[in-house]
Amino acid sequence: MHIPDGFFPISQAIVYWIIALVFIALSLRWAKREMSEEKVPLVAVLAAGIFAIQTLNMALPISVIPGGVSGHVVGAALAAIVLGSPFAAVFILTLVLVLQGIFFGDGGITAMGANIINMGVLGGFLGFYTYRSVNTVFRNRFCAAFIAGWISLFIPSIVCAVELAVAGTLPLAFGLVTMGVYHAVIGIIEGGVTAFALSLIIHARPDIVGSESPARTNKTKDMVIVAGIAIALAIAIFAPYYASIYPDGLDSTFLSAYGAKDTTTVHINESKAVLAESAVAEKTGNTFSWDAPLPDYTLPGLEKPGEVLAIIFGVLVLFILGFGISRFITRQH
Amino acid sequence: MIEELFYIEKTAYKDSIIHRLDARVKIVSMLALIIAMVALPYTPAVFAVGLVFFAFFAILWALSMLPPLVYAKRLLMVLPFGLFIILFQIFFTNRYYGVFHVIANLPFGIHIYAESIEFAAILLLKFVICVSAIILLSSTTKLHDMLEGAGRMGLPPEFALTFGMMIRYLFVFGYMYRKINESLATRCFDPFNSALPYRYRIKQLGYTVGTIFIRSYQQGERVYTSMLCRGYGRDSHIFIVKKPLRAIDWTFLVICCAFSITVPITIWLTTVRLY
Repeated sequence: MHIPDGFFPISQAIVYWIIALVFIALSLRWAKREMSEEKVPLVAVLAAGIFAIQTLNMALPISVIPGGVSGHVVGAALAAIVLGSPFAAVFILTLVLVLQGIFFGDGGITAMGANIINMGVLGGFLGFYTYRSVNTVFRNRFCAAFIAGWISLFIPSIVCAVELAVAGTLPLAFGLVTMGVYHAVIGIIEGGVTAFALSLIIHARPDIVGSESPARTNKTKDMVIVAGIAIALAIAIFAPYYASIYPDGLDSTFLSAYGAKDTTTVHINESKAVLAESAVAEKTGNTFSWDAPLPDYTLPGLEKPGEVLAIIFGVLVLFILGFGISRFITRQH
Repeated sequence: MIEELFYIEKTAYKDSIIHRLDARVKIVSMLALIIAMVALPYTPAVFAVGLVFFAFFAILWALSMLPPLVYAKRLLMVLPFGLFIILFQIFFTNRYYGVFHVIANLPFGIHIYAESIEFAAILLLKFVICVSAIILLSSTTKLHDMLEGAGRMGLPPEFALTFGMMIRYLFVFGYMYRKINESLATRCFDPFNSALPYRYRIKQLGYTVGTIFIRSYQQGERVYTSMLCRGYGRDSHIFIVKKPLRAIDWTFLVICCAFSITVPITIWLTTVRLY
């Protein structure tokens, strides 16, 4: 998932760098406030440890070439969970990614902003909050860590595919399917290793695992989050199979008004529909049009699975946006 | 990747005119080369610029007296993800071309387009040039020199200290990683052995990761405590002595920056006029 240089136009690379810098600054503030400045060396040494952890390779659980394809752990979820803050993951992964980019050439310099956002910011935040929510609801650390590890790898890979699609260097449908499937499989390693590593750390050094005070955990809120995500994903999977292929009320009224469709039937006269659109454009003088990234809730080239993927993607983007905005608003108070 | 750390650092400790250059000069020059390559739009002009840049890189590599095999090895190590995206380009259309010509039809309605092959070649060239610049930089500059160079160029002291600590302990964990691998091998454990149940393999790997995590945390605690004993505090930072650039450093810097700017502009203007 380390995007190399040359796959983003320079303008987009700069935008990702700016976003990444905001999170790096926030993680530095966290390090100073939560860990006290003097303890920064501890995080630095831990970053070296995470770098070593990323070197441990393992065969994929499902592989066409037995033992041929391998995956390794990123460790963002583990770092965030153990140190009790997603900013810990941002801080550590930034150090690791800078070293990988500048010293090994793994991941580009101009693309480093996007890599930090994907693996550090998204990996850390998704891993941390998924673990907290699932653990509060089900009271099962192992399951929570597994799901958190899996999500911390899968969602960033989807976002990586979208970033490359926006850059025009990887078709969206192909990127989402290949990156999604590959990382969904590798995610099993990430999830499993995160869960077993966490259980070992909890038994061996319970004092270092960041704990949430009971006052700060709100079970109802977490339950609502988990149930909400589950319902939204269930709708996303089943909706395309139950969705009507016919135009909705507003579309239907518009088409009927221009004689492109009879009000009592569902048949549309395609040529008249096109004429109706141009007539409206002429009348209103509004010729603005925009090609949606996922037109009609589907991915070009894919049938039903494309619709499912498009809706799942939309749900997750809205969830991240909504969660981010609500966190921002509540922090204001 | 940590295994390569020792190998790369070994090449960085050799001696040549490129090795002796100031780290700041090499960092800025290679960054200029990368930014120039990335900033170039996805047009056939990339071919000419890329080839000139590669020739320039080849001269620098020859001056560094490092064997070409070192470069080839390191390039192979970072290719997979980029190569995966580049290889699949040929089957898809993209937004950078208006018209696409099919040159081969494959089963399942898959086509290979001439323009997409050109686009894939452009991406490959951009990718290889940028990676080559990084390989040259890290193969001829010691990690600590790079850190000092970045510090002299204004890297915040908090970052310089943190990176310094990280670099120091990378090698410690490199050795630890070797030992852990050896002990796993002694116990006949192979994470790629499909005869072993998958859950068992993940569990062993998870425990190994957990162990490294705890050991690095404990190492961090020990380092922190010993640093406190030696007077480390809120205002401590790495002491970096001032080091003026020599005439040869300035010459190299000016040549590299001028080259990175003038070559793309000249070729871009020539190509635009030709079209």
